[in-house]
Amino acid sequence: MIKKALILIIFLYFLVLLETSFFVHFGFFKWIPNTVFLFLIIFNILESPKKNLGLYLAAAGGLLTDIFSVGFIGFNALVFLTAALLLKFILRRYVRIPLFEKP
Amino acid sequence: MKKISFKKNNFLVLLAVPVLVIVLLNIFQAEVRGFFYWFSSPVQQVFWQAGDKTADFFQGVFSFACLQSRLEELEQKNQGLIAEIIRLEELKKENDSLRQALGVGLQEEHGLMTAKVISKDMSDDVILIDKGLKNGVVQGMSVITEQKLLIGKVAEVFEKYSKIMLISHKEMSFDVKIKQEGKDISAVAQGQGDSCVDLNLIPREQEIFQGDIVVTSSLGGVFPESFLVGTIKSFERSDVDPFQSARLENSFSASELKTLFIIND
Repeated sequence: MIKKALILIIFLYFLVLLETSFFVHFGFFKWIPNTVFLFLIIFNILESPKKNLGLYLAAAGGLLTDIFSVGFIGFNALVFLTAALLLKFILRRYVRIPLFEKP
Repeated sequence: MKKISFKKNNFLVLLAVPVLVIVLLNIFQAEVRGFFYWFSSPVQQVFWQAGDKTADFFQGVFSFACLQSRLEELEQKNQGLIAEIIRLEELKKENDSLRQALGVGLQEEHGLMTAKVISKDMSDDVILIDKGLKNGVVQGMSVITEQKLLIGKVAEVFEKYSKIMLISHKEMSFDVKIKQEGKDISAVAQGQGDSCVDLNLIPREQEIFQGDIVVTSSLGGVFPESFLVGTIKSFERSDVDPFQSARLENSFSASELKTLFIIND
């Protein structure tokens, strides 16, 4: 679990670097998708609703985004964590079919 | 009873630790960010250059279809520019002789320092450059390109890196002049975010045109005089308002910037 989390945090770190230095060159009508946020959303959907790794990753991804942005450190962490919590809550409470869960 | 208090304590610790971490990160944000920039800048520089080259390649591929019309357009523009060059060469000769007489060069005039772009902020019009406190960068310094095109000003300085607030940033506001033959019209440029800059407070009685050149004015003390800001793309005039407004055609794209100059006086 810890090893997996560390690998994913390193992946998120490189995703933030790509976002700030590589993807900025490829805006679609000046719009650049937030790949870190997209990855976290997809990860939280695909992860089993009972597991919490997605929540920790959301906080870590948010903090990394904050460090490479301007302004208050913690803002994106809070936004990402809230989104992940909301997603987990919906999946735990309202989604009964284990679409992505391994049997 | 003991179980409940243990749970309560556990919850408080779980809540207090992240809050404390965030508070500490914000207190030492210059050091934290500086460390991460120092640690990541070699990779970011590679990504920036790779992104720039890849974007150039794809731009070439996608614009292939309209190359013919673009070529014709550029040929026409080129003819106009040749005439302009001849006129400017005369002015340059005059300018050079005046500079020689005064003993001042462009470098000495402004005291320029070169810097490379490393990354761009995801949500704001802010870029990161590889010069900081150690190189003598101070908050508020103006940043331009090789072509004397205004980019922005230094917003935040770290030990080896600095953040540049682009002129299109929402918090950016500065005095400008609209250059017209024989006269200058004063206005205020206001960043709108997403690489957009608007001009406000243009007196209604003044006539402005699409393509008018806009340069900085030293009036507000934000930027030095006569740096190119852009050209007028469109304008709005209302019978009710005492002022008219205009939108600028930005002459640069943040993702295309490579080498910049910081004016250190």
